[in-house]
Amino acid sequence: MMMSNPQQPLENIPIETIPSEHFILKRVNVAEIKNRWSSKRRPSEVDFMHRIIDGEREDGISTQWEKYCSLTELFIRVGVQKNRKDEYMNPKHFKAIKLNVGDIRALEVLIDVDVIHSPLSPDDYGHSLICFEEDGSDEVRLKLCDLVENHPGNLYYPEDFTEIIKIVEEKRASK
Amino acid sequence: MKTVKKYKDYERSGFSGYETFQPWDNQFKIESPSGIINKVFYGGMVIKPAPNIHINIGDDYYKIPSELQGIASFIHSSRAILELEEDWNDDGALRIDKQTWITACKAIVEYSKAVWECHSVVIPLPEMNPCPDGSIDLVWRKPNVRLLINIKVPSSKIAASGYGDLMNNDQPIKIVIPKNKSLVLDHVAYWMKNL
Repeated sequence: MMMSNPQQPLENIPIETIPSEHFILKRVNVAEIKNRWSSKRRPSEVDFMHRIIDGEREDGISTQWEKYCSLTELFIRVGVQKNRKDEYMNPKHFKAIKLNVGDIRALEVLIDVDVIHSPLSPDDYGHSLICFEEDGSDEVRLKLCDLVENHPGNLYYPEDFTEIIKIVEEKRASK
Repeated sequence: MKTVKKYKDYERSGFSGYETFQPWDNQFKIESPSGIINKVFYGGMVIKPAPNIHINIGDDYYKIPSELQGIASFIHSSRAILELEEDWNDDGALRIDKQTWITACKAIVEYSKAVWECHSVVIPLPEMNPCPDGSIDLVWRKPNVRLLINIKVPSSKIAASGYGDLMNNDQPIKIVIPKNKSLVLDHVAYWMKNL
């Protein structure tokens, strides 16, 4: 692995400004809804919460810039990652949210919200973050969720995983 | 057995209807005309709530009017949140601490009671969603209103935070509930009439 902290951008990799007309992709775990006894909504506000890594709040919500990561590549990425139990994740357990960067920046909220390019490695050059402060984050999460809910077409799930699984298995075997 | 005798007393009083519960750790009490039935029956049978329900949540004891009786089974079911294992979302999610769940349950009960007692309005039950950082989201959503209250983990500096509006930023409310004080803020309870 190239780094110990997966959220720490590497130096010497150019950072770009993401145009507002571009789109970002975010994965959401749909297998996890079995844990939601009172809500099966996807996405929900929970999907736009910062993760805590080693006790520290992430700098932003991890996404992929569509310019450098297609929907198919997003699902392949999931399939070659491992969870904390050291098991490969199943791409079929995820859906993808596609959001317009301009819509996010234009959210009518009390705090600043931005989408910034935050590449983690040359292989993960499309990594980007939805950034907003913790104070006021409830409003942002509620409204980001509505951005997707009001546009059901923004939630993707491949009809056929055959090609994705094939590529995932090849990548796993080559590791 | 003493408990069985109370059960029979209750049955003779003319009450009908039973509800099946899985036994759990005595945080759930139901009052009968002959007194409080303190234990879940060994057969898993509990008498349907009488006009007033008494619930223990953590160390606190609540008397709930019959209009809000749905809260009891809601809280009972929500306990499943505590069974989530570390990394339950395959993305590093933390376990839900019991104290966080207790605070979430208290918030639901106390706000429901406050809105009922002050405004005679029964607010709907929220969604209760576990969050990756170990906190709990309480979410109310209707076509013309939305409210999110995030119950923080015990180590947080505040008990909860939240935001709500009547859509299109109409009548927005920002919520910060401090620790070690009442969960119920009067202006929040007043706003919740909208739910």
